[in-house]
Amino acid sequence: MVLDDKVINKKKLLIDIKNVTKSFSGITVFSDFDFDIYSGEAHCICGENGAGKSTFIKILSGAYQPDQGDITIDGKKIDGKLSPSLSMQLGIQTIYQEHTLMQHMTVLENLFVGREVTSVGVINKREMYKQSIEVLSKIGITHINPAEKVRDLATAQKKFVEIARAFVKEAKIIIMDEPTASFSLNEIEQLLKVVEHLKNAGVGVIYISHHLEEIFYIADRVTVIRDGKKIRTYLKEEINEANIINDMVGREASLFYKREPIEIGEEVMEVKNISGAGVNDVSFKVHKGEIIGISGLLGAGRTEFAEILFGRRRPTAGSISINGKTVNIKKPSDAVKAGMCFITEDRQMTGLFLGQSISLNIILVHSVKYNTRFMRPKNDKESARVLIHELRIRCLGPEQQVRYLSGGNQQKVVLSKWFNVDGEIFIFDEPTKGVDIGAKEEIYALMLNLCRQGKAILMISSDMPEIVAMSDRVLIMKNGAIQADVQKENINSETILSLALGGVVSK
Amino acid sequence: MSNTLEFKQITVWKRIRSSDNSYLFLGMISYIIVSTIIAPAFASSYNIAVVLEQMSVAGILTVGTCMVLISGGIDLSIGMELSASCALMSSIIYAGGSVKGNVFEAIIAGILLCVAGSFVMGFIISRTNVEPFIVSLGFMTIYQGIATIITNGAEYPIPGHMAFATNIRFLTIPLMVYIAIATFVVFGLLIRFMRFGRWLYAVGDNPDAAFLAGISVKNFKLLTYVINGVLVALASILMLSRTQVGNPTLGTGLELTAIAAAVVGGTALAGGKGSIIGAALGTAIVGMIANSLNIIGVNSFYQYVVTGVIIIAAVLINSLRSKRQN
Repeated sequence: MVLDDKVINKKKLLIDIKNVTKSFSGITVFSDFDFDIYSGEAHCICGENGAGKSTFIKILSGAYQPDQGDITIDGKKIDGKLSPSLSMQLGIQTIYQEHTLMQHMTVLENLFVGREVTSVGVINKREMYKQSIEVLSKIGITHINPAEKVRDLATAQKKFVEIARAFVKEAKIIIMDEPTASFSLNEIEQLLKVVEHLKNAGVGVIYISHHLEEIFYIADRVTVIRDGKKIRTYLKEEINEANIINDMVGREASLFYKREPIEIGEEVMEVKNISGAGVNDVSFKVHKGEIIGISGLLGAGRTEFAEILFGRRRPTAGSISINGKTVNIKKPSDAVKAGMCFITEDRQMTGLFLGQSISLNIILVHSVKYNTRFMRPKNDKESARVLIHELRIRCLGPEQQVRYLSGGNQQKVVLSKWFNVDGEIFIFDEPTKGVDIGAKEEIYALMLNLCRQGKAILMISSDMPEIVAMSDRVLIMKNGAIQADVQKENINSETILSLALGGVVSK
Repeated sequence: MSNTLEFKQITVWKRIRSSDNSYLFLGMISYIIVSTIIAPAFASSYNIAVVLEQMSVAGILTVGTCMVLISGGIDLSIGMELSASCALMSSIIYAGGSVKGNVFEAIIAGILLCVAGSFVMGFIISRTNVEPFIVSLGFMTIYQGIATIITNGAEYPIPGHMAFATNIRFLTIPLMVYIAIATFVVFGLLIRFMRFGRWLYAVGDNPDAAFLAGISVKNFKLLTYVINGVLVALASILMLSRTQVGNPTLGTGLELTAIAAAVVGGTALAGGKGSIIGAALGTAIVGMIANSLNIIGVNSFYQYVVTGVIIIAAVLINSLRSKRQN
């Protein structure tokens, strides 16, 4: 017992939040919230999109001022305003989803911005190099050369540099907001190790993620929030997947979506020996009503393959035929006219016109495919209304700018854009990336609905439960080629993973 | 189909209140009222005709600039392009001192110069990664050179020729004003009722997404620059009709006036945002400032300062308003 007390005493209370409430123009988005974190602890936060996770980050980082409540950081009670600079002074560092590094500078320069090591007024590069290697290895990163330019690093490596920078700034608390978005399995593992190192160094880590597996792996405590309220805080030994999911969605839900079987019809597309940028001799056939999952590690050439199919990149060899007719796809408009639809991975960069109305987003492809030169604003809005209703897009109306919608609703706008044209083959690249569980299920239901109408779906996904639950067949890509074609009865995560890694084929 | 829609019907009043343009309109009206109180001559029918005539050329250029800005581009060459076109047309009519050249041929030559020049520029901008700012800056200098070469540093007076746009009047207002208004109306309708308008905003907002939606972004951008060239040609015809003399300085600074008018009217330099109605109001506001200051008797040296302050203020109010709305 004495020992236990000692352990607890060693852990210092870093943040203590009581009864925090925040409202915007009369609407309470965050109410009576309690939260605390100790040094050397990973406290994870779970919640669907819009549950209040980002409001919470913004309060801690000083971007929003709470209306009520007490915040104590590192023993100091905050009276009055917690500004972004004060928050940083007190040792809170936030790793945002977007990168905030200076792309044209080296890793080392980024790490020491504002606190360069100098000797007699001159920057001491050698010393900084030495120190940066120390810092990186202290948090368990050994494969990044501090002299490299940030723009030459992979996405995951940039994230590690940001974490290292927070560490250099003597962060006591590091907030990570969805750090593993677009990470490969391998990279996720590395990140979780980095978090362990941070914990050992006495840093308190607030970890926010959609991925429950990660949370279960590192969490000392898990707090679930829903509708701006704390639902429950679980201690490590109490953590239970089913309970947490129930708390998140507020209803019974299973992690694995259960789909009904849909009859697979005749062949609709045949891809023959396609090669090109990062893709090597890919051939397969697609049938009506079929969902073909495309799995593989990051960099296996999945997105590149989709882009070749859709005409964003030129193939160097091969042919595509749709309904028995060879089609020549040189640019995306050819693909659109041939009946293809492409739901891209990064909807904000390549799928949406964020500053434009929902209706403009929805009618655009239609105007390309059917060559409608004359259009009426009234008709635009009407077709948008129909799809908003059909897909249950939560918005103020067809004229609302897309940027103000949540991730799931933005994804539905992307889908509406394609549902508005009568396509036959739908290519989904990471269809539920950054989408909360509720919207995820709605998107799955929409995909199955497409199958029922006899559309064919190619689904690129890194989300294993998604691949396993949704696919009729899984193509596994590696180094730009199809490594294996797994039939329905053999689909399970172990098989897919071992094939994707290129290891020994089990079974 | 029970409740197809649960959105609140947006009333006309609400729409007016939430629109940037209604604020601009209010600003313009109050400016007119204040100026009229200080100097009643401002609202005389003679002065109104003068202001409108002065604004016509800049107005047409503002329509084109607004369009190019919405598509995510910029064209700094239009002022000098206008100079070059005016120089070319006047030199043809001047015909070595006889002032007997064919007006029709001159107009065709002016149009060809602008369209060909803008086509080449649009081609370079749409096919390479060079910033439109830089490319059009280069073209600005090229046009300046062309204008100087044609006029040989001097100027070509063409009294009595091509004066139709100023001489023909309805209700004391010259034809060129109607042409300018028609340009605004045509482009307003084009953007509202044609696919062209939808594509314009899409390409300006996110060219990558536009390409993946099946739009040939390169050709579309090229098209906007060519259309802009046609508008510059039109503006240069009106300009020559007004000045009756071609020289290389006619268009000096007009590109900046057009950008200022478009931006005051709510067009974003980053693309994807702006409107023709806004551009019209912006033209009116920018056009009125100099004139009213003149009438009030403000020294012309100070006019630049005041104009600059008003432009910045208008843009500032706009950005504060849109920030507050979110």
